[in-house]
Formats: sequence, C-alpha cells, structure tokens
Amino acid sequence: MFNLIKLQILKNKKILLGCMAFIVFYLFTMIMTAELTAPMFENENFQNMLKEMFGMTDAEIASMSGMNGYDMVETGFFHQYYPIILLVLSIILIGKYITKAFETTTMSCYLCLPISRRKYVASTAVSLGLSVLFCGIVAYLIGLLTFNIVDMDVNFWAFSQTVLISTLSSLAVAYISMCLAFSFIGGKYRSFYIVVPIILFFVFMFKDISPILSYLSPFGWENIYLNVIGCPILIAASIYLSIKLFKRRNLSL
Amino acid sequence: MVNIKGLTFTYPNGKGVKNASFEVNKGEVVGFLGPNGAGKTTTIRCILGFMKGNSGTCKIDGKECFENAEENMKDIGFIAGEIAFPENMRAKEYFEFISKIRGCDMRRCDELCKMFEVDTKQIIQKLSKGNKQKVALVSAFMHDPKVLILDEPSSGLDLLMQHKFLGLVNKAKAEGKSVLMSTHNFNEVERTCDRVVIIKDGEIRADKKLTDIKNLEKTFLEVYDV
Ligand SMILES: Nc1ncnc2c1ncn2[C@@H]1O[C@H](COP(=O)(O)OP(=O)(O)O)[C@@H](O)[C@H]1O
Ligand SMILES: [Mg+2]
Repeated sequence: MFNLIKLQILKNKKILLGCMAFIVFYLFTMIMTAELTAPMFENENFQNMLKEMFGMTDAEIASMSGMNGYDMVETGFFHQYYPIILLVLSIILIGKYITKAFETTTMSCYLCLPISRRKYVASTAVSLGLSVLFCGIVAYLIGLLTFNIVDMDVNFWAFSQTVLISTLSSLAVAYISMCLAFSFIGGKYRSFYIVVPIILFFVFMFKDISPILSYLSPFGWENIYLNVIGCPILIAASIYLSIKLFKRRNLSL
Repeated sequence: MVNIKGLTFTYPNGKGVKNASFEVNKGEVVGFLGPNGAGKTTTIRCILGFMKGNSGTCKIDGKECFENAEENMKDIGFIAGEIAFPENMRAKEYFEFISKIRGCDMRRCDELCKMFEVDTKQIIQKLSKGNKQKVALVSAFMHDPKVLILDEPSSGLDLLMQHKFLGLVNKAKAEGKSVLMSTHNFNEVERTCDRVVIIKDGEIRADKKLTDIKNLEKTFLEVYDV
C-alpha cells in the first residue's frame, strides 16, 4: 500500500511541479506589476496623460496615487485572487490525477498485480490528498517568503486562513470525487459514501441561507466576493469529476 | 486450472464474448486464436477479473475470477495485448516495485533481464515496442507464476527473442504450469501448444487437440469459411 501511494505521487510529479511553477510565476508577476505601476501615478506627465486620454478627474487620480503598489496587491489582487488561483490549480491537479488514475491502460497495469480495486482507489485517494496538501502548503510558504522578502505588511493570519482554507476546499473536491468513486464499487459502506457527498453539496448550496452553515463555507462567511466565485468553481469541479468517474462505475476496464 | 463455463460479456455496443466455455489444465499450453476483434482480449480480461461477465462463470483454481482477483493475481503472470506501464519509471524501478508488491526476490528477474537483454536503465515509455514487450515478458515471468495468461506475447519481438520466449513457455509447460496464449502466429502455436481454441465473433468455434489437427492453417481458415 505504501509503495503504491509513493508510486502514484511520483508518477504525477510533473503536474505538481507545474502547479508550483505557476504559483511562483503568479506571485512574481504580481509584485513586478505593483513595483512598476505604483511610482507611475506620482509622475506628473502620466497624470496629465490620464486626464487627457481618459478624462479622469483630479480626485480620481489622487485616490489612485495615494495607494502604493503593495497596497494595490494586498487589497486588490492578493487576498481575492491568490486562493482562487490555488483552487483552480488544485482542481486541475485533481482532475488530471483522477482521469489518469482511472484510465483503462493505467488501471490494467496495476490490477494485473495482486492489488484489489479497493486498495487501488484508496491509494489514489490518499496520494491525491497528500499531493493537494503539499501543493497548498508549499504555495503558502512561497507566498509568505515572497511577501517577507519585499518587506510587505501582510496580515499573516488572514493570509494563512485564506490559503489554508482554499487548500482544504480543494481537498473537499478530491474527497467528494473519491467518495463517489468508492460508492460505485459498492460493498459494505456504499450508502455512507453516497450520503456524505450529498450532505456536503447541500452545505455548499445553502451557505448563504443559513447563518450557521455559512460558517462552513470554505472561503469564510464574510468574504462574499470569494464565495460568489469560489463556490460555483467547487461545485462545478465536483460535478465534472463525478461524471468522469461515473463512466468508470464498476471499475471495469 | 483455468475454467470458463458459458461466459458472456457484452460491451455497450453489443460486441463481446458469447457463451464461451473452455479450460486450461495443468501442464498444458492452450493457443487462443482468432482475428482482430474476435473477443480474445475480452475473454482474457474476464479471466483476470478486470471485468465481470454478464452470465456464466470464470474460475482459476476453483476461485471465481472477479471476486478473488487480488488473490488470483498472486499466481498469475500476465502480458497485456495493449501493454501499459506506470509513467516516468525505469525498467529496474518497475521490477523492484513489482517484487515488493508480490513479495518475490529479484534473482529470477535479473536472470530474465540478462536472457532477454533488457535495458533496465531506460525509462520504459522511451523504449521501442519490442523492448517494451521484453519488459512485459520479464514482469510476467519473474515471480514464477502457476498460470500464465499471454495476450499476443511475441508481437514486436525479433526472431532470436521469439525463440528464447518459446523456450521459456515450453519450460513452464514442463514444470506443470498452465498457459493460455492468444496469438496470430501459427508457427508459435505448433511449437508450443497442446490444444487450440478458435474464437470468431465472440463465439468459440473450435476446441481441438493439436495432434488431431493435420494442417492448422487449413483448419483455421475452414472455421472462417474462407
Ligand atoms: N472497451 C470497449 N468498449 C466497447 N467495445 C469494445 C471495447 N473493447 C473491445 N471492444 C469490442 O469488442 C470486440 C472484441 O475485442 P477484443 O476482445 O479486444 O478483440 P481481440 O480478439 O482482437 O483481442 C471488438 O469488436 C471491439 O471493438
Ligand atoms: Mg486483443
């Protein structure tokens, strides 16, 4: 079992590395953009150009130049997009992982060894979870490091919360999909595997209606913006992956 | 050893295997003949327990194939028609992985690698077709299984390797193993098999001892009314 998990993680290391590379690229671009654009608003020629070309008022320009680049990143991009980028990346990771793992050819090369279907699915689930967690934690560390280096005043707690929460919600997608996969295999715990994802779906759906349930929203209940973008992504991804798995329902080849 | 009774498996498009019955006894090599798309691979997948037949039974050593797939696999060596290997893995790592999962030692594997001249340091996906086939051969024989299920095992092998491979099959037969071999090569059948089973459009059309057949090619073509 341990060997199987190790193998599955190693097999997908390219996707994992791709995700990491993208995170680094994203943070780098973000900071460079901020560094370059912030001083421009202080420049009088640039201000005049904005007035002439876009008809901006003095007040508008003043409000923009009051903001330095780091503020822009922190308030604009950083808090709102970073978790979503992470989420999308994790979902790509999960999707690739699952479609690869349940391909006929891949499965036949494992099932011709003394490995049961149950063990195979379980090892896929565990290695998938570990990969997503790894991706999330590394993204978190890279984020912290980057913003430390450029000496930015980031609210660490808020940062930790958003990043870790988005990782956890990716894990939820993985979990739901794997639950559905398990439920297709059948056996003793079949109903459990079916009921749990359904309950989770309802938790996602009704988060805005019930104030208690809204605590369970993966993006925190006060951040409406994230909920509006993030939750549909989560639900769509879960449904997409379940449909993929449904085609493999008895894990036959 | 391998016992199939009235096995029927239908794919969603209506093709598959219909009411197939035959068996492979101990110390016997059975040739499984039929043109492309006849249902050889489908039958073999049922024997391996990858799929469950719609009706009929399929047993290895008295154990139902689908339910006891994990246990049965300990004694089966398998070469797939469409060979697939874990990605980004060197042949050596692959063999080590198998030996860990199966709990067998690497001695026999090393012997086989030497015999087939396998390049164990290369990533498997980068090997040519014949060399991949050799890796599959080694992985099927390395744990000295009681039952060998070979789906077009010699495709892509050069003549010398084919010769060595047939020697391996004959040795396994002498040791009392059961071998089911799907193939398109009559020469191979004549040199190793005791019995041939011919399948057409998912139905078994002939199940004969090789000694009862005067001309294999003629018999084969007769089944197909050519
Ligand atoms: N996964 C599949 N889905 C639907 N049809 C299939 C599938 N695999 C094989 N078939 C069909 O079943 C028939 C038997 O295929 P197969 O057993 O692979 O033949 P072969 O004797 O060449 O190994 C073929 O007509 C093929 O088109
Ligand atoms: Mg075939």
